Formats: sequence, C-alpha cells, structure tokens
Amino acid sequence: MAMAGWIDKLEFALASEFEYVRDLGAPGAVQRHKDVRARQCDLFRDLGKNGTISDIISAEKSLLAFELAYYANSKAMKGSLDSSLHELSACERMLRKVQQPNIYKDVNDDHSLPRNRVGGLPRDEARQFFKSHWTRLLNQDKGRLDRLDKDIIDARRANMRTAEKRYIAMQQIALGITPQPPDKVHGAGLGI
Amino acid sequence: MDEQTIQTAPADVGPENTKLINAFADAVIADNDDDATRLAKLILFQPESLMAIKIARGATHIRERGYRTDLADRKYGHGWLDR
Repeated sequence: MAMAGWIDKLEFALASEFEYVRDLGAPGAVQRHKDVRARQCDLFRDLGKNGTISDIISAEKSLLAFELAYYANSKAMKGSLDSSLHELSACERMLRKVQQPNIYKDVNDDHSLPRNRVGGLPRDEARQFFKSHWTRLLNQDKGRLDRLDKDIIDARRANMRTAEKRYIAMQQIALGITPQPPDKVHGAGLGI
Repeated sequence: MDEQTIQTAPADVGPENTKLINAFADAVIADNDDDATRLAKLILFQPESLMAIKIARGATHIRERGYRTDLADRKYGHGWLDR
C-alpha cells in the first residue's frame, strides 16, 4: 500500500463517521458508525507502525480539523482544538527545519538555556507539541466515550510517543550527535 | 441529485445520497480504495466535513479529489473554499 494513501483513507473514514453521527436512527447506521471508527482505529495503529512521522502528524491534523468543524459551537472545545492545531502547525514547521542541518543549527542556538533543552537537545515547538498533545489526549473526558473512542485516543497517544522518538533521532542527525543507548549511561547517579 | 431536491431538504439530501453514503462506508470498512474514491465524488457530504478537509489539507485537495461542495457552498456561501 502506498503511503500517500494513508491520509486519504483516514479522511474517508472520518467523513463517513460524521454522516452517521448526524442520524444514528437510520437502518444500519449504528453498525456502520461503529465499523468506520474501528477502521480509523486500525489506521491510526498501522500508521504508528508503518507510517512516516509526517503521516502521523497529518493524520492527527485531519482528525482535529473534523472535530473543530463539527464542534466549533462549543466555545471551550473550539479553544482547545484551535490551540492544538496551532501547535501542530508549529510542529510541522519544525519538522521541515530539522531536515536541514544548516537551518536547524539556528534552532539549536535559540534554545541554549537549560530549561529549553531536554536530553541535550532543543525543547523546540515540535517537542512541545508531542508532549502537550499527548497530555491533552490523556486528559480527554474518557468517562463519556465508548470503547472504540478510547481505543482511537490510545492509538493517537501512542503515535505521539512514536513521533517524538523519531523526531529525537532527526534532531540528533541534524546536530551531528551520535545517539547514546539509554542503558549505557556512564557515571550512574550523576545524571538528572 | 437535482438542485430542487437539495433545496427542499437541506438537512437530509434524500435516500439516493443515503445509499451512496452507505456504499461509501462499506467500501471504507472493506478498505476498497477504488470504490471509496469513486463514491466520494458523488456524495453530498455535510458542509462541516468539507470545511474539515479544507482546514487539514487545503482547497486544492478538495478540487483535486472532486468532492462535491454543494452543501458547503450553501452553508458557508460561494467562494468559501478560497477564503
């Protein structure tokens, strides 16, 4: 399967889901509503295993855009989704920069203070997005969601972790840092 | 789907569209990309879905995909795609 099709498949699954959200009383609607969400869940999981970091971010963007378009009448929800999408855009910009070492060097220089670094790397807007979005997904009101909704959120959270790990590897490459295996830390006890 | 049908029932564009949506969902569930892609050009999707796709992927993508924007044009006004 071509990777270019990932986001198209998700877009289709989201578009069909929301057609049924409108009217679950129609014949066959409940089952299809369930099945298209199960499909979304599979797509998010496959994406985490086989997709690129760009695919993961694009998938998240599509889902957030659907939520924003449909739930924009709730002020609190709209605010949260707006900020998620803004942070995601910043993440996309960083993703372009980290692939150009001469440009990412400036990002590195601009994050010189200890509080702006993590593990020796810039805590840039991509790193911030992965972290804050993971937390946001964790904090969603799970009490009102069904099993499938929760599975989808879990897959999305796992994808944020996967994207973060891949991004860290990209930061290391951009800055010419040889990754240190975490189990071979020297001077145990001195690290923070 | 003719224009009159849409105008008389803007919230539910009729049984033909429902059939198309069901066939589309079945193709999505079966991971049948060819059918889903074909049906996606025929369906009158809700305005919000088109808006979501515009936010996520831009107006050009909507045109390239051949999505019908009839209901979105009505809700958001003509030219919404380029605003």
